[in-house]
Amino acid sequence: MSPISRVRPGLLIAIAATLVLVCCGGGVVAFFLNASDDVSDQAGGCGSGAAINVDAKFPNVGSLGPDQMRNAAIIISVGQQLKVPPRGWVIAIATALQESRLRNLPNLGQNNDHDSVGLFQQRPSQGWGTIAQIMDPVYSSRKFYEKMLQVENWETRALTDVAQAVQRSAFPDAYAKHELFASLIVNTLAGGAARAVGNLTNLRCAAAGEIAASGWTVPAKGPIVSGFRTASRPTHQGVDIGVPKGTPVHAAAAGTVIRMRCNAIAPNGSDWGCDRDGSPQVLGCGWYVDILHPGAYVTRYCHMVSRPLVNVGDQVAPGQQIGWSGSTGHSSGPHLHFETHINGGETKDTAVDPIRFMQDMGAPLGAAP
Amino acid sequence: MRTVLRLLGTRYGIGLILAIVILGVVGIAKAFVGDRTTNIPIGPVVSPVSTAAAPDSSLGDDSVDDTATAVPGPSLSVNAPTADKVAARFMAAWLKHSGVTGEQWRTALKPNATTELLAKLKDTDPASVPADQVTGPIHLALQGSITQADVPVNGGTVHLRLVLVKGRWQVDGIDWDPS
Repeated sequence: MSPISRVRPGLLIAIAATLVLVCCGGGVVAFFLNASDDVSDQAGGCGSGAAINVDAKFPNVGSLGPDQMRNAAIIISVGQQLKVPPRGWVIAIATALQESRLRNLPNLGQNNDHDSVGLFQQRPSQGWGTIAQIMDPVYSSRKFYEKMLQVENWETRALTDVAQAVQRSAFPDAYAKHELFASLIVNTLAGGAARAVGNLTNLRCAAAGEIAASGWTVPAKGPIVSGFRTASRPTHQGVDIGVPKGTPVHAAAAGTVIRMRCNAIAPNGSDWGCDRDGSPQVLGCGWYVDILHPGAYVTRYCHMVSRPLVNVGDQVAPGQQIGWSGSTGHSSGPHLHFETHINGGETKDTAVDPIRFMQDMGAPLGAAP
Repeated sequence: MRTVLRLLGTRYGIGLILAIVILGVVGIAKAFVGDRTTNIPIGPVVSPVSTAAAPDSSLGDDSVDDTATAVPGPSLSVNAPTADKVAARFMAAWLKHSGVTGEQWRTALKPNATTELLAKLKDTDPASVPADQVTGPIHLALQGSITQADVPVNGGTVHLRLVLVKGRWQVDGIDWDPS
């Protein structure tokens, strides 16, 4: 470049500027927009083996202040020392969020439950330790983990069930709503560790079929054969995961089954039924299940081959099998149609791109079968 | 040939050469930039989304179609109490927590609770119930085929999840938001 620029610097700049503006200005802008989107999704990876330094200065998450962030860091630190895998850190922080909002509460008398104190509201009268011991966040975290590790199948059960088994509270479902925020705290403090495999102490990103520490997993392992609201299918409110008929379909996270039925309507308006395959002329989702998750997220699973394994009102655990894939309803061949919704909804107004959504949850779709 | 070379030596010729060089540089740069966006995994590896025409690309919306059939609603047995009555009865028993043993407390909850919920409360000390009385009207919301009941109490709000079991509403979940 240097001999040329020595000859005609002005000309070079003029031509270069013109060309950049005319031919690829849009491309450059688009590139930077896309790049920033990607980074915001995945910055920080999936944790590392490094021990957390509880005396470090942490960024605040949400409305939490420095003391609360430090308490969260202590909970993670104790978990690391006890070799508890990252799912345990998420469960412990979610529990402390419900019990104390991550504040080391002294006995508040009338305003407190009985004689409960500290981050986890543990009770001296119930054998958790002396008041002084429980008011030490390191001690109270260790006591929480010790009890949690005794809960059968704690790694794979719904967060709120594990927390309730330890806490024995009068509100067994109260811990679930903190799962996502606890995951965000763990991701912030421990380099994305809530995206790591939940039950492994050697942190690595969760692959398809594994449950991330956040409690999310892919519903089926398979390639995305049709995307969310593509140019050719602008009204496609989910993604199609290409899987053979009879592939197990899993709940993407813990939640409540709020719908389960057959939805298949023949071209003449009569009921087509789900005891046979549908076709592109048949309307509807076929055998399907809607699951309501904490945070008012809803996931939908369509075209299953036979009556799903769960009923309305059932509580499902992360990754629990809910049925088998098929081609019932509005379908030209076996696949799992998977939708993700916000605000507790089920319509086009609440549908969000499942690729992006599941990536944020630490359970990216699209891995090969 | 000589003519062409001589023309290239003029300022217009140099301009033409520069234009070709710059187009080449920009083209290569664009190709390189394009590779970067698709090939460098930053975190969990996500397979690229196929936007090519899929075998079922003519399908359009294959989600739930509610236009032709009515959604079957929850079927409540005749004479079974409504969800708000069940929620109110359950709350009265849940709040009555002083001077009772765990067994007495659970026995009072039982008629309006699922067996799953009772199992989760099996070790609960009723002394840890964080409120004493309902302080306002119960708000009901239908979510699919389940009902959410928000109950204001002193100190916060209790959120009950009610499900239909054999034609009767039963409380299956308790959530607590301190105020």
